[in-house]
Amino acid sequence: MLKIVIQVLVNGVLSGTMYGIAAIGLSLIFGTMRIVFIAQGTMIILAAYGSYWLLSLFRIDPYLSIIIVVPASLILGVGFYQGLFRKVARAGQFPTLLIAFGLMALLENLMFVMFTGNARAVQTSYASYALTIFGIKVSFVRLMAFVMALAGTGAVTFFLKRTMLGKAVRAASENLEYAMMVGITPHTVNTITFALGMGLAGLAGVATATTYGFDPFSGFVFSLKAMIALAIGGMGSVAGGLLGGILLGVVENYTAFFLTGGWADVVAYAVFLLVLMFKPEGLFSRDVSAKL
Amino acid sequence: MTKKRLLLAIIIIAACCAVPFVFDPEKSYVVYFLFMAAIYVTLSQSWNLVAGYTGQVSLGHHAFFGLGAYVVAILWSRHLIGYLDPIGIILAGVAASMLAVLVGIPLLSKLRGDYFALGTLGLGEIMRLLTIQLGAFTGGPMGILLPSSSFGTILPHYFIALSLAVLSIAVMFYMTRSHIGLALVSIREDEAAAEASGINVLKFKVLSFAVAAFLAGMSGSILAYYVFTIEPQGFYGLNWTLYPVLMCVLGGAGTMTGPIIGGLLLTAVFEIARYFLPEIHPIFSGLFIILAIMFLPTGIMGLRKGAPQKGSAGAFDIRRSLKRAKGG
Amino acid sequence: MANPLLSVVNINVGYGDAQVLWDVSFQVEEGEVFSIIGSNGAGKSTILRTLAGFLRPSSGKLEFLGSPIDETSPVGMVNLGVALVPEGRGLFSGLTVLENLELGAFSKRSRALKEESLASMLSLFPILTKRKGQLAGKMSGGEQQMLAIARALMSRPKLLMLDEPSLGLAPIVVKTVFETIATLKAKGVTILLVEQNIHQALRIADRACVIKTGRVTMTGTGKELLADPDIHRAYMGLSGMRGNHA
Repeated sequence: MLKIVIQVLVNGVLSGTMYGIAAIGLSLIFGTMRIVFIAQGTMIILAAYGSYWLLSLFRIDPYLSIIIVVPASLILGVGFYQGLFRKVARAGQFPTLLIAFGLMALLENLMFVMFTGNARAVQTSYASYALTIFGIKVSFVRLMAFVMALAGTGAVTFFLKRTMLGKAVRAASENLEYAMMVGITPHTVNTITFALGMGLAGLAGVATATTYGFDPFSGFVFSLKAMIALAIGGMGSVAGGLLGGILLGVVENYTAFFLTGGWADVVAYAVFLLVLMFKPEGLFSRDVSAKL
Repeated sequence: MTKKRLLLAIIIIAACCAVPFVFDPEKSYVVYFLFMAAIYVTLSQSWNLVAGYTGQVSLGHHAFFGLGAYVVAILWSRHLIGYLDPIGIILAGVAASMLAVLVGIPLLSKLRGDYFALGTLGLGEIMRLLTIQLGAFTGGPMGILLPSSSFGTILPHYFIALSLAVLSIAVMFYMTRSHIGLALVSIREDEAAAEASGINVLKFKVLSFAVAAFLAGMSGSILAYYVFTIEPQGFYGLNWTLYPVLMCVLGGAGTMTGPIIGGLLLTAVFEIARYFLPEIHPIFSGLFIILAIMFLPTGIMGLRKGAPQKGSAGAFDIRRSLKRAKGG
Repeated sequence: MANPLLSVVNINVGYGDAQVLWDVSFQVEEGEVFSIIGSNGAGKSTILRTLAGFLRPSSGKLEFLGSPIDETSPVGMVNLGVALVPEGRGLFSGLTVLENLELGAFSKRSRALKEESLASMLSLFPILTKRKGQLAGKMSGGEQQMLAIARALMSRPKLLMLDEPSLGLAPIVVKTVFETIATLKAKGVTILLVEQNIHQALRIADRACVIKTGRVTMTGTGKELLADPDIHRAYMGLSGMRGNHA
């Protein structure tokens, strides 16, 4: 029995890191642009399709495709920000949120028209490999997704803590006005966080493609789960986002195991509301400005 | 309200009433268009009340819309209420506002703006998922088949929707010009100051939230009476929040005419797209939303006031968003 | 006299429909300390925020080094050499002292000289060397004020603007802050000072003006205003200059 409990835990942690990495992207964008980027999940799906087609058409292994997908996502992120969001950044949160929504609707349906609504999954020779560690079965692809997520988190953390631009992003996320007073341009930090958010989405996309089936409309729910992870973990911190995602994954997996699958989602949202009501700054953050 | 404006309003309402007699509903699309527009106008006004006037951004309006629709669907399919039964419609509104009060009190008292928005987003999803899970009651993911065969013409639906739209405008009108309206606006501008001057902030927030939910629930029920089946995906879809938000922003939030203009305009755009580009109309809609916001971030009413203030979008001022910034 | 560093002529500034400043005019010469004094809510901070680029005057002229700056953005002003230490200090409390200082040199004009500036700031403010790795939010009020000023200086400004540096600080600490300002003045930094602590502000000023409900009511040298009986009556209470402020 204990073994099963641990197995579910491990599965939860592994699947949770996917949410975590999406959450970190959301957190970065929220920090500077003050919106919840509702299209994050759809971006992940876009990247997943990228990985899928790179395999189907060019026989590029998904893990190798990271080299293409992630830089492409970074560039796309810069492009999206400069093209779509820069102009309205001044006008406040709503126009920005609505453009994100429009973008989501546009991309979802574009992908639907181009790729059909059939669920896709990347089929590789190693897709069903499983390792056994201490008697616990661990799927190879999920383990790889976990490693990717950790690597992504590490890279972002390094950037934020050790580079001047990263420090500027942290400063602007804390207080945009004060950041302007030292010469930090909002557009600069916005572009950076947006690009990073997209880069992380690219990474998550490859991970998604290898571990789940997906269709053009899976993105929205992914975004919501990422938001829940963020709320649980805390808006401001990178580690918080990852931990929140992992916690969410664990809760979901246990609920699915002891009740049925459908209830896992309901419980996830219930946890979401409870955390928002009783600890809106997140379980792992020290920032209390979320409360009234 | 000046006599001129009142006269204008009456003329417009009369014209709307006359429309079905000028454009044959069987042959022409106009009545259906105005029907949908009326529903969207109601939703937009109700969202405007909570967000535009009180400053509480709710992204969960679809929860109330869907709940209202399901209340009617469940009661009607069990023959507990009749076709277009006013009791059903009112019950839908009541149920929605009860949900609003239930959820609103904890959320509004504890959460700051951005987080409140997030919480309400989750609310919509919870309602959708609960509806799927409680299948015995609600027909689950496949939904409920409604006894709609008993309707032959859109006319009664049209007039009820129209009345609801007029009601929502009247409610907005009354609330914004009364002391309630003043309280709401002062809460929007500076909550701490409002509290300090003796306004029970929570009471007014919950009040506007509940009234908005009431209107949203009723509009949901009206649409439920019009369709043949009801299912979670369609009635709890995020569109029912985001389209009204879009209509308010494009029309000009925080004003009363904004949502009306936005509602009419956007319903027209979306319905035309659906008609002429059936395959790809969601792509068109998405593109339209992006372009419209990029070129009109302050909305149409914002244009009317002359060159918009730098960094201002009616009720959604960048100063406010900066104020809400952590530590700001 | 050469052209003034900063020239403010008849500016009117408001927030939306609420006007806060009416026909405000003054000039700041290079190398001097200019104080703006007045009570709470008189509009002093609004002046600094306008100069820093956060607000646009609806009418009037703003010139820095002879060029108009009415339309310049906050970051643009930093790049021109105007640094603001806002009310409340404006520090990034989640970042360390060192990181705050480093970010002070973020602007293009000061980036290349970062290491030099850092070294000179750390020697000018030894307390900051001691607290290099500490989170800015965890320091005492006086230390934070030093950090805020140091950070502003990292941007190599031609004009340093200080908004109520004595706010919330104990009298002994206030003394230290003004000693620092005096040191900076001796080094030739041009300072525009907004203060509620009338006595200190006028003592250190070369010239000053008084703001009352959004209008300039008096202008003169620091000494003149310090001796003025109206100011004594209005701002310094019945006791006037009683007590040792040395």
